[in-house]
Amino acid sequence: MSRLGLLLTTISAVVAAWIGWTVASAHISAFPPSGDRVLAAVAGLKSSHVYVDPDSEGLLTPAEIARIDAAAAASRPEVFVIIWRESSEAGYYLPSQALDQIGAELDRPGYYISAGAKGMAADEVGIKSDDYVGDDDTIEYDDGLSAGELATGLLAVIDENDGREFAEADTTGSQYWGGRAGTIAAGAFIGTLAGIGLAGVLAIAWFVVRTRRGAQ
Amino acid sequence: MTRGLAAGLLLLLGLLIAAPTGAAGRPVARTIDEMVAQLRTDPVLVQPVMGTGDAHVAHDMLAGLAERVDAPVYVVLGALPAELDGAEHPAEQAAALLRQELGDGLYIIKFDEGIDYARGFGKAASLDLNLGYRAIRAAEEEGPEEYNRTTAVFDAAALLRAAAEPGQPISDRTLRKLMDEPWAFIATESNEHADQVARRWVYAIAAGLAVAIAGLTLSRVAVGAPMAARRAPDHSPGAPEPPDLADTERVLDQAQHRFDALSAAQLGSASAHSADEALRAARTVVGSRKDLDVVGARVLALIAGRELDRIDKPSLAAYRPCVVNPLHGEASETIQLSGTALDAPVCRACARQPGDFLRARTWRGSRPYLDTDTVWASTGFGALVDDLASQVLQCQGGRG
Repeated sequence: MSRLGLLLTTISAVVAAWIGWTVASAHISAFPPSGDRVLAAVAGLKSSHVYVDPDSEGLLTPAEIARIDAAAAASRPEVFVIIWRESSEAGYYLPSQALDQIGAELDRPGYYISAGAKGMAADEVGIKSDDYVGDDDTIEYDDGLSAGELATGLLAVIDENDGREFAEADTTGSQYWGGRAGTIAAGAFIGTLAGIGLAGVLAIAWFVVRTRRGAQ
Repeated sequence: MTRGLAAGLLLLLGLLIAAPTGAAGRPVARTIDEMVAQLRTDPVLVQPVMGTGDAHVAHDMLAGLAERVDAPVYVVLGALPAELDGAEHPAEQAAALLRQELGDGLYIIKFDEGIDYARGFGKAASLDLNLGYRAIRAAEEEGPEEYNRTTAVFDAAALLRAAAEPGQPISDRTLRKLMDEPWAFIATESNEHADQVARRWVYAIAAGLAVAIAGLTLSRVAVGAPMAARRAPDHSPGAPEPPDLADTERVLDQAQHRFDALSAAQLGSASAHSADEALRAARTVVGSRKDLDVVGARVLALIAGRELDRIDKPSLAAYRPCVVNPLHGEASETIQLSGTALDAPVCRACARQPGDFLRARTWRGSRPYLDTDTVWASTGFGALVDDLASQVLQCQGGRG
């Protein structure tokens, strides 16, 4: 391949990449700021591994909170527990999104659990593990919880979490595209298929032009 | 007594500090009674659990709209009160309970469980909220996603707007402004910022790679081969030899100058006529710049030159090129072409060892010129006929 062809191809590829970047950038919504509920939880978790939202006061006794706090702090990976009512109108949609926001604001890798009278959800933030309690796990208690059941359930999850192998990792990437590696792989896969198709179309066009010239 | 009063105040202060708080620093009302107490001082109650990320902003916005309504207004967006847990239509029941304490007015209530409720009582009963519901439906139809759900804050704002300005539909501009607010729609997974940021990389990588692959492929197919041929000429026997256009034009010009210098008497000769015809034929084809045409033009120029020589020396033989490759020069021998009974003129070298025929480059590759559909193939560039110039002119510039 000639240097000119290589240069033109390189320039065209860079321009195409820039166009792709620009087109995709036009549809990026503003980064959703953490809401008041998330920030309140973050403030509470700075001094404890358990945060009880004002709307869920009374779900745990002070003694239960103390036991959960001690178990969560001693657990590896660390566990952070947020006790609150589940809501999709508090600045996030899924419970895991709220946990991601809390983990990012708190900047402490660990296993984050949100729980309330109606269910429990968990998410790993800043860590990855094959030996796994459950990422994005949601447990629903259809009939609600009786006294002591929430504390017992939380302590069981914390105990199961403790001691499993894990590594710190960037979990802020896109789950849809599969993190950084998945994003690159997706781009490469789509680009390769599109490149083969585009090359075929251009080659056919070139042969048609040459055929017509040859026939003259 | 004083000591007891101070202790009591300190206890009250401690309870206030320790109490769970919601929007505007107030304790989170978790029962109907607590809600009544708060609504008596502030008719708009927005708790963080329904505040779309900023209960203060939502409260202030709704309070501003509520002030414009010509009737008492009570807005409750919060957690389901403890005593209504498991009740049917808890918002409607809450409205009834609140009305008993607070009196008539417009009640807009939405808890984190159950359906919402909005209705006016007393003077507020005449308020038409339909325009508000219509705006909510329009927002959900025209929202940013395929399926949109407005938030309780948005719904309350739309209903308050309808109540504040009865009979006046919410303009498209106002609706758009409301829809652009960060609290307008319930976020969905497809709104995730990380996905959108990652998609930027996917698009960039895919577009760049696609163009790179296409460019590299096309360069090899369309550009690479001819460029490689120019970089490294093929010296194999019979390989296409790009004719020298400049040299051909030089030979042609020389013959033309000689022709132009002929006297009137010389111009009347048959050889001069043949030279003129050969020069015209050469001029016709040299402009095409095709390989075979340039070779043909050179042969025609040489034919013209020989005819000019023959004006004074009629005994000279007419010019015939080597049929194998006219660029070899004038033929001096003959050989029998393989597969035919034809004796064809060739140069001395080809007579000793016949080489490969001049090859013509085509888009399908090179092939012997005799296999092309041209006047040059049918005439052997004049080696096989006596009237090359005439045939070239008849073929409209040598295209056969």
